[in-house]
Amino acid sequence: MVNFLYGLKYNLMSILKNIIKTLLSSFGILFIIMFVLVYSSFRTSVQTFISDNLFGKLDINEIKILPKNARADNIFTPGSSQGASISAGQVKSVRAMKDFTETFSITQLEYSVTIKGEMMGRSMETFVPVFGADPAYFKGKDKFWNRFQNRMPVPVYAPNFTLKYINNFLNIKGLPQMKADQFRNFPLEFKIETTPQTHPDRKKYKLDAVFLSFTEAFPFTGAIVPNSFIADFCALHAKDTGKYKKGYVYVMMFARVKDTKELPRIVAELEKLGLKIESQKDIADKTNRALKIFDYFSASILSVFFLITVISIFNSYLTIVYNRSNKISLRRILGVSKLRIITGFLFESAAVGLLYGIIGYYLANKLLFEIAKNIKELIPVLADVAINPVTTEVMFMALGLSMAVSMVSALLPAIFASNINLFKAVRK
Amino acid sequence: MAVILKAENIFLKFGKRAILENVNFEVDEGSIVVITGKSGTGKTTLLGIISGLLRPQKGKMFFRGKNILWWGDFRKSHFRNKSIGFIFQFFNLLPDFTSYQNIVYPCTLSPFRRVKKNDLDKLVEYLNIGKIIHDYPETLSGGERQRVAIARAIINNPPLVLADEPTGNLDDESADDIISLFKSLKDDDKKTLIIVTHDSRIIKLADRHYHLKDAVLSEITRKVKFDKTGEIAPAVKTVKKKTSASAKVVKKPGTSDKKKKTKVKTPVRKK
Repeated sequence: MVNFLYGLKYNLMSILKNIIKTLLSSFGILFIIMFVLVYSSFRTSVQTFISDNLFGKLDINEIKILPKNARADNIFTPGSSQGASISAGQVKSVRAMKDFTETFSITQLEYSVTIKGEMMGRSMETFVPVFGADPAYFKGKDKFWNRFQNRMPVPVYAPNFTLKYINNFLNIKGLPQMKADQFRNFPLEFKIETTPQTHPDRKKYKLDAVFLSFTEAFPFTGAIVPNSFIADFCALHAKDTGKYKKGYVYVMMFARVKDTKELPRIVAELEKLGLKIESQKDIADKTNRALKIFDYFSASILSVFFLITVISIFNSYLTIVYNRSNKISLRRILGVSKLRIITGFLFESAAVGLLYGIIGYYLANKLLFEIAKNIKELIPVLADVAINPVTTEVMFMALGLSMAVSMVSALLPAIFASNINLFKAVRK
Repeated sequence: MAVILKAENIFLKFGKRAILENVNFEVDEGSIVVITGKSGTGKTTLLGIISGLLRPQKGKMFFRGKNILWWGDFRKSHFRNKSIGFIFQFFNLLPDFTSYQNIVYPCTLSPFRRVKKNDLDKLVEYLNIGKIIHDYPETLSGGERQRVAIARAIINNPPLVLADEPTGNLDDESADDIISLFKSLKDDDKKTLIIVTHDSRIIKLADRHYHLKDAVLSEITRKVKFDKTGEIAPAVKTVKKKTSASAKVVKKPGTSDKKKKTKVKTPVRKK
């Protein structure tokens, strides 16, 4: 044990003795580690942002049922506006399936709707698509779900990213930013026109509404009201144009599956009904597809970086081996085995790799902190991405990678060192 | 006396150039064997083979009856650490270590071995290096460095000491000190020494003298003188001497008369 420590001391002494050379030789590792950590953190943050804000969230046992011809990737466009909707018969068939614990349908009002609100003394009115959802769908997903009932004033949910658009708008107008809580119970007014603008007897209804909350549960751009409100309103005004019009369509359904193992069969059955299915996996796939190009690009940069670093460390270690050939030979002559020479070098390179890993981790975290602080100015399009700090797992992975890069680069020179021409070297 | 080292038909060439051809010799335990030869003839290479650092293309090298050329790197390393002490012309002390650290370094290569303080004190006293034990090599004189190197060579109490031109870089006084140390290593500690040298003072001590020329190792049985290149001066007459008990060379059958006239024993070639 004493001699093991002595050996360790020898290795540390040789590192310290050549610290400048050794550190300079492996400088590239620092950039690799920083790049990997910043990229990994940035990627996770962007991925979370995309899946949370654009594709919406699904629980593990939830599936999203869409019309077959819906453009699934066009997340801002609900099915009906593309001429895609789920028929009442299809809704009925889905509800009749015994594989689900619950089913929820999403409807869209087919009438022209404007929403009006007064903010900071200014009145704003804009056209808005109106969707209907079942209150039970929000149970467990939003704390205000039990207030989402068909009553007056009409309770309204809005998708989470609306807040960001509103704040962008306020920013442009030079008004202060607002938080989600500040919008709670905000009075609104719906103006619903049940007849076309060209109709001789135009009918426009004003309805009081109240803002409830922003929600992550829906990825739609529009206001979300209770399904029963839409159904009642449409039933009441079905004959405003003179002939019957249902007034709403089913654009989507959510269903909670009893047994997720049965998912492939359920999906097949739903597809037979002429529907399109998305599960959590699909959402993850979509997010990953969106990030794939980014990944390829980064991976190619990283691999060039990696190659240059490995070659540079390799060359530096060859020089180090040459410079130390006398000492190495002497140690070999005195009874040090080849393996010990190799492990000595690997230990040294691992220590340097670890050191750079730690420095890289520190610098990457600093950099991420700065990026997070200034992201609005640096990359306006990602202004709303919450940059996560590097996780412990990623940190350990980065340290491992750093050590591995260093050790792989030093391996061949270490083997050369162990096979050095001993007598030639000691005669120098 | 028992044979500690025996070489059989050692053959080594680098590229097309033969360095050693059919080298055969035996070394008795507790004897001093000197190897001479011109620079670049392969004397150090032969030491490399004896210690297992180099592997010849053909031949066997027995240490106490075991062929070391068959061993793997671990066993060879252990053998070099425990059974061989090395002394070099340029001392080859580790510059980052003090004399003490240099001396005990071979002991530290075994994971569980500790240096016994008494043994070290005796060795330090024996070599008279007490005053410089904590000094770094760069502050020592040539003679002091060589004494530290000898201490390092024998700290593990190896039976065989290999020395490559040990007095080649020393002044006469220091060389005399070292030579007397070699003598006492042989007489008092019963060590076997194989010394590559041209120093006539060491040759005088030798129980046996080999000369390496044109890849062939021959035994010199009489007093010789060397020219500046390290080659035997041609004018000196040598007289054939009977093989001593401590050093035997197996004579090749059918050695030619012409070779006998050179007064240098012909190389041993086994076919």
